[in-house]
Amino acid sequence: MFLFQNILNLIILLELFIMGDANQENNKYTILLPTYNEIDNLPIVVWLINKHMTESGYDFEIIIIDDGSPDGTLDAAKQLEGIYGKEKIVLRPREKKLGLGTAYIHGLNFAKGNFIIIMDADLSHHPKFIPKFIEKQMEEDFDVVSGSRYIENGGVHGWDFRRKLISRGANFLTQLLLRPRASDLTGSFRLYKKHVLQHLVNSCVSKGYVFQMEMIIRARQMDYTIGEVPISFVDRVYGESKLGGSEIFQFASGLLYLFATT
Amino acid sequence: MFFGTTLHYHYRLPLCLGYRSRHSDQTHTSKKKKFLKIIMTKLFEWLSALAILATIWISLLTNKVENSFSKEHPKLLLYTPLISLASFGLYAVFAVLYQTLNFNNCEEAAEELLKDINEAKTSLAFEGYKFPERP
Ligand SMILES: Nc1nc2c(ncn2[C@@H]2O[C@H](COP(=O)(O)OP(=O)(O)OP(=O)(O)O)[C@@H](O)[C@H]2O)c(=O)[nH]1
Ligand SMILES: [Mg+2]
Repeated sequence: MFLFQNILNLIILLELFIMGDANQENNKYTILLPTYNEIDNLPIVVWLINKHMTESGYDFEIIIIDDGSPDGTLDAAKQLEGIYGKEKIVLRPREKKLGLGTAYIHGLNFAKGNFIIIMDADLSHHPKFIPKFIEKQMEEDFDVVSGSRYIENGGVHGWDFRRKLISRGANFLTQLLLRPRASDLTGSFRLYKKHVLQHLVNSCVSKGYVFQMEMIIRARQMDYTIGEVPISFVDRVYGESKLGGSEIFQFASGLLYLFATT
Repeated sequence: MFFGTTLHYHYRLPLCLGYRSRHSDQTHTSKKKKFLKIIMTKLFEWLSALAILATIWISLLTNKVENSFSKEHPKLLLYTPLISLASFGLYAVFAVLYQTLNFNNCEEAAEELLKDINEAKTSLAFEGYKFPERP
């Protein structure tokens, strides 16, 4: 009887050991990079992702979703595919510019990882933060890890007083009205468990800029856990902004929509 | 933040105006509560909180509730909503200004990025990446 128990214990221990090990080893991180006219930024982002992911030893793939950029971003992506291999660089281009929100959904369909990282390809999101997101996720098995400019050690670079004021004012209003328990709603540097992202994407209706806000609000509403990592946001060095002037209007209408429906 | 702290998300109340119902039946949150979850919209939370405060104010004002305060300071009571609104507005302005002025200016991050860009370019060229000709 005693021996039997001992053997049973041993089996359980062994199983735990194998499973614990497997959990670590089987994680794969899919990084979604939507691009539109990012020919100068894309190679550098990819190089930096490869550097930081290889250094920290995580298994990863990069899915590049280019929307027919006239500047030849796709050719740059093909060169990168040649350098890093088809396993690491996955090209899933679309014919024409169909918008950022649908680009994520499109890329997600091809993701092989159990975790998805969403970031801008314009170098304002530095790949050095990805390992920090992953560590944070592991800390408490978070469903979502969100990069935040507004917490201690986070911040921005290249913004004048006016832009900072608008950003802070908008954030204050959002925190007051929605109480989202997440400090940065409009930032789009995040890590998700794949099934969580799929679920969120299917339940979000907003388009464009507001999409990011709705995702994190719905995540809270559905009781998903959210961790935060401070990030420094450096304004783009190359290329030009695509979201432009209607941003404030989009933000305001998005805020009111979420206020009334969530 | 300051309103609605007693209002919470998990109600077992019947459906009514302003509530949005949802069965928490997704497998991923199955470890959480299983009962019918009713979520009050943020708009409705605000309206409820305002209604409660307005009720208290009016009942004090019209002396429906016996109290000495409304007899001793009738003016103060009358202007309470205005005073609270103004002081909150003032707080908001100062809070946003403070946060704006203390918004971290990541100088080092920007410098580091420039170094990273140069390192990446050299390394990429070495690995055979052809940078497009620039006019
Ligand atoms: N595939 C695809 N990518 C897009 C589209 N619009 C923007 N992007 C990409 O999405 C990311 C974010 O877009 P940005 O133009 O940088 O938007 P932003 O960060 O709000 O604005 P700035 O940084 O000020 O330029 C970048 O990597 C863009 O290349 C689109 O329609 N399709
Ligand atoms: Mg950007």
